[in-house]
Amino acid sequence: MTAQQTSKLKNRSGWIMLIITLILYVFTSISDPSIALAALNKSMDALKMIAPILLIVFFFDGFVKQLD
Amino acid sequence: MTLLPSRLKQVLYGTFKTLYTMMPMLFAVIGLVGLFQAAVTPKMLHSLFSGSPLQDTFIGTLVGGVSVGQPFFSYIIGGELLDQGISLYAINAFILSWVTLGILQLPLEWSIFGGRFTITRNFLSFIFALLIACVTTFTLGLLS
Repeated sequence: MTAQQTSKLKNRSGWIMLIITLILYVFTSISDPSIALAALNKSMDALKMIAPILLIVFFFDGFVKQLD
Repeated sequence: MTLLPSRLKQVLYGTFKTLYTMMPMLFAVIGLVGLFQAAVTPKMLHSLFSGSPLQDTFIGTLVGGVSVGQPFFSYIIGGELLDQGISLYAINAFILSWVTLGILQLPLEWSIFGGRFTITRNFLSFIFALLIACVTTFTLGLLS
């Protein structure tokens, strides 16, 4: 299996995981909308917290790859 | 207006390409973390993690072993678990096994590296995740 095929499989697993998460949110919003709303708010808080760190990490990752 | 140096442009392009590739998994994990925080109560977690170092380490290793994703996702989830009052034994084991164990990716690893390598690597990773989690937590306890 080539590196490109492995990368494609990894990428596909991300989409599968996202679909599973969305299905979980749909089920939660049907059973208890308040929990789904609270979960969305908490997810946004987590995203705001980690977004700057991720940008820095990926920037340095790209920088190091350029040096190679 | 000065143009960006081509090197910087390439770095920025690489950064956004990596972000774009990881976006689905990133949103999925962040969504799950939110759902986890909203739906799973500390009482539920404490029923899974009893507080016994050995049992917590074992459960942490198993949960980390079946989880999939980039290592930094394990830090986010580990941080949330720590906030919920889960012991460092479990969190250390969880982070270690997330990085080194790959139960769900076994077929992929098997097809690339072969069965003997895959089983030996995963077995040793499991044992060492347990050991290192215990030793790390013990050392932190001594240092603090």
